[in-house]
Order: sequence, then C-alpha cells, then structure tokens
Amino acid sequence: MDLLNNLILGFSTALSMQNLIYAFVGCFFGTLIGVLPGIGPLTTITLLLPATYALSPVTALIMLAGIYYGAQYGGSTTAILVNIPGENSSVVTTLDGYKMAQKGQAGPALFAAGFGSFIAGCFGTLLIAALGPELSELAFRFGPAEYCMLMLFGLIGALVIASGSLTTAAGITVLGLLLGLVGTDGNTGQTRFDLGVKELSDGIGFVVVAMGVFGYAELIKTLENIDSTNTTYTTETPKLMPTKRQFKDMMPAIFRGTLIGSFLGLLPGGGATLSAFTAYTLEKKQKLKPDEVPLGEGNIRGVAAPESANNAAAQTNFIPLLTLGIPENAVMALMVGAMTIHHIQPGLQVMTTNPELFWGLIASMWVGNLMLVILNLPLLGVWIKLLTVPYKWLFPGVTLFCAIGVYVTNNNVFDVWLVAVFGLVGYILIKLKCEPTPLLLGFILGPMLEENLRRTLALSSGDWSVFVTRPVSATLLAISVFMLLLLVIPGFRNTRKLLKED
Amino acid sequence: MLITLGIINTLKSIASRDYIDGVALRPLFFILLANVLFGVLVEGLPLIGLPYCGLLIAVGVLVFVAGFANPNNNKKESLILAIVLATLTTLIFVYLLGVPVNIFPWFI
Repeated sequence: MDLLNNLILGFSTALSMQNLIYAFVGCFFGTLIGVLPGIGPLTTITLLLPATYALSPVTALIMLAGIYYGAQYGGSTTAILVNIPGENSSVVTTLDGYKMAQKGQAGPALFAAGFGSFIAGCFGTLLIAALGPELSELAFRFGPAEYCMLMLFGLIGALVIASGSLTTAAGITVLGLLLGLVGTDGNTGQTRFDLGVKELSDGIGFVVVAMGVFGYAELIKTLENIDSTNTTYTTETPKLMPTKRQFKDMMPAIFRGTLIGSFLGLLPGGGATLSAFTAYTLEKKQKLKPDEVPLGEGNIRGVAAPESANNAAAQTNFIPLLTLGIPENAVMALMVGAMTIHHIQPGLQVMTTNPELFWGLIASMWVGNLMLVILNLPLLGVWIKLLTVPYKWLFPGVTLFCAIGVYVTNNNVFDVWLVAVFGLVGYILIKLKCEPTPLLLGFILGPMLEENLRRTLALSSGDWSVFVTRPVSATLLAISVFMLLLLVIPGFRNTRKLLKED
Repeated sequence: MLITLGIINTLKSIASRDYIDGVALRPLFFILLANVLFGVLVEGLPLIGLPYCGLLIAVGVLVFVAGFANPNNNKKESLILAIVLATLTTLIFVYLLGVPVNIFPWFI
C-alpha cells in the first residue's frame, strides 16, 4: 500500500491551511486572468509567477499548479460564452460551446466543461500517483546520454505539433537554443555571446524572455485591434444544470476524452491542444443518436470531450517533468523555470529527497481540480461580469504586471531594459507569423541539452557512439529520427495540415 | 543551421507573397516606452545623474503612459487608474510580499 501511504503524505501537505489557501488563491487568480480574452495559460503563469517568490517552494508550486488549472479553465469559459478561445487548447471548445451558448444553453455547456475537467483531473492525478514511482525506477537507469536523447526527442516532438510552417518552428527553436547559451559557460568559465555587456555574463533570465515574448508582444498584438475587443455579451447568469438527457450524453464523452488526454499528455510535445483536437475528432466519428444534434452545431459532447481531454493532458504533462525533469511543452518549460527560481532541480531527486513536495503537489492537483468546480460554478456570474470590463482598463494593468514582475525577480533594473528588447523581438516574430512558443522550449532545454551532451562525451572520452550503443538512448534516437522522417514525408505533412485546419 | 533555415524561410515567404499586415507602431512604442520609463524612475539613471523616484511614481507613470497605446485614450481615466494601481502595487509588493524597493522619491 505504498501508493496509499504516499497519497496520505501528499494530502497531509496539501491540506494544510496555508497550502489550501494558496491553492485557492492560485485557482482564483488563474481563472481571473485566464478569463480575459487573449490571455492564455502561458501568459497567466508568467504574469503571476513573481507573486510566488516570497512563498516556500512547496506552497509556491502548489499555487502555480492552481494558476495553471485556473487559466485552462478560464480559457474555456470565454470560449463558450464569447467565442474567443483564451488559449489554443480551447479552440475546439468554441465550435460546439458557443453554438450552445447561442441557443441559451451556456449553463449546461459550462457545466460539462467544469465537470469533465474535474473527472479528467481526478483520473490524471491517480495516474501520476500510480505511474510516478514506476517511471522513476526507469529514470534511475538514465545516464546523461539518455537524457540527451530524451531532450532531442522532446524538441522534435514539439516541432511535430507546432502550428504553422515547419521550417519556421525549427528556426525559432534553434534561436531559443542559442539564447539559452548566452552567459558563462559552465565548464570553462568563458563568457559567450555576451556582446561585451557585463550583465549578460550571467545569462538571460527566463522570466525576462517569457514576459517579453508572452507578455508585451501578445499585449501589443491584442492592442492592434482594440476597437473590436469591445463586443457586448450576455450578462445574465445562465442556468447551470444540464438535463438528464444531456448528462447521459456527456458522460461517455468525458471518459473518452479523459483517456485520450491522459495518454497524449505523456508524450513529449503532446499537450492540451493536441488532446483536445484528437478527442473532438473522435467524438465526431461516434454514431449520432437518432434525435441528437450533430457535432459542430451545439452538441454537449463536443464540449465535454475536448475539455476533459485538455485537462487530463494538463495533469499528465507533469509526469515527465516530475520524474525526468524534462519539460515537454512551453507551459512545463515555464514550470521548470519556476522551480529553478525556488532552487528545486526538477527530476528524480525531487521524489526521493523531497517526497513532501512531490506528493504534496500531486495531492494539490486533485484539490485544485475540486476547487475549480466549487469555485467556478457558483462564481460564474462574476466571471461573466469580468468579461464586460473594458480592455482599456486592463492593458495598463497587464503592462504593470510585466514590468514590476521582471523587476522584482532579481531587483535588477537591467532586466527591465532586456524585457523591452524581448517584447520587440516577440512582436516582430508574431508579425512574421512565427509562433514564439518553441522559443521558450528551446531556451530552457538548450543549456540542459548542452550540459548532458558534454557530460556524456566526457564519460565516453569523446566517443559519440555511446548514443547508439546504449539501448535506451538508441531507441530514443531511433524514434526521433523516425519522427523527423515523418515530418518530411509529404503524405504526413498533408495530414498535419488538415488536422490544423479542422 | 539557423542561417539555412532562415534562407529557406525567406525564399518561402517571397514565394508565398504573404505580406505583413500593418505594424501597430502606436502600442508598440507606448508599451515599451512605459516599460523603460518604469526602469528609469524606479532606480534612477546614474549615467545622467538622475536619482530614483521610487516605486509609487514609477508605477503611476507606467500606467499613464501605457494608456496612450489606446488610440481613444482618456487622460482623466488613465490618471485615476494610475493612482489606484500605484497604491495597490505598493501595498501588495512592498507590504505584503516584502520586496525591498524604494517607495518614495529621494527627496522625501
């Protein structure tokens, strides 16, 4: 009954009054900011990160996880009510969700999203609790060579699902890798790419990059068409409960979505968005009952399945991060950065040296999900009201958050200059239709990749063949090469394109 | 590698004739200006011998200047927002989170 014991330890941490309060605060603010149109989880976490600096690591992580779920959930609320997806993963939710809202069924749609997310969250949490220790057994056999290949795998995986042109995504990733190399070389003590600027010899802070690219650049982009953001919405609180019939329709969809999401969330590069799309496609293939509305015209299953899937994926995303210390998408990369700020090296050691943190986080995931349901269903009216706050009051606040957030990270004014530069860079990237998300992944993974590569080569005295002779690393390498080949084969590229357009 | 990818992309974009749709200079300028002013005001600029003006003023100026990013900006509204946000941030960051930073200008 190891699992049970571990979970008890976890819950005793998560349920302490202080952690409970911060989980609540995280969920609340996550939803609050996530509800705002055009602000996704990535931006939300970036904005709220500085608020966790003063907390103890466990509490800070719990709060961040809360923010993450809240932001996910907030995104689906806007998707349903206003037809503006707050983030990529709720794009599919708009299809049926908004149609339902137009038919006056916003309540059941929101209920389906919330309830589905909760079920998915429970399942995802259990899965992490069960799989975590197993995976870490495996992780013990991982040497630097394996880590190297795993990161390569992650980077290529990110390319596979990146939106837009493949070459652009690859270019952005490499740019991120290069930015990650700025600063003092850990092995020789030499400074690289510092352009003679003293402040750069410490490397570029990841908060700076994230705030510039996801804070300022996104903000400026949204401001381009500020007039169109002043749409009017229904302000009355809709009736929540679905009918018995809808309930019966949505349950199997929730389970299907949960399973898909849990699985896809485990894969590198796979994440909430991919899961939501896949779940929706699967739902579309299910046979319709005689008098059911087809998907795309306001079917509750079209809301329940993708929402469960993206939430399940949001949970299982944590597995590679917590066991191997490798982020598999930009949000998780952000989590790595957050952990580093709190002096936690993500990975195996966390579970053995800091079981309280590991299990506490897992338990708090469940608590966080429960809180979302409790918080969101009754507070729905408040969120809807929030949608009516004019954007002209919001954006100076967001600017403020970015500037002050960057400043208080190190109390260093140089970072404030740097964030302006990254804001500009990010905006240029957006204008050139280069999705900036892979930049962050490259930025975080770059130094890790380099360190492990060097360690591998040091251990093998410069012999590159270790990557092929060690079985685990060879397998990972083979899969990476295979994925890369898939990308180049025209047939698969077309499917990828179709999936994106669907 | 980056160079190769860059060349491929440049050629592709020329081929696709997909032009950049209007760059929004106004928000770009004012948001970044607000950010830089914040930096200058909160710590001062030793280069030109400007002492710090403190968090309160820095935040106020940031919010007010950022407001100009909106083409139909209302200065009175901006001013009120600036005062409210400046007070709130100071309360949250200095008193609640204990960030060590100067609140008031050097002459107070």
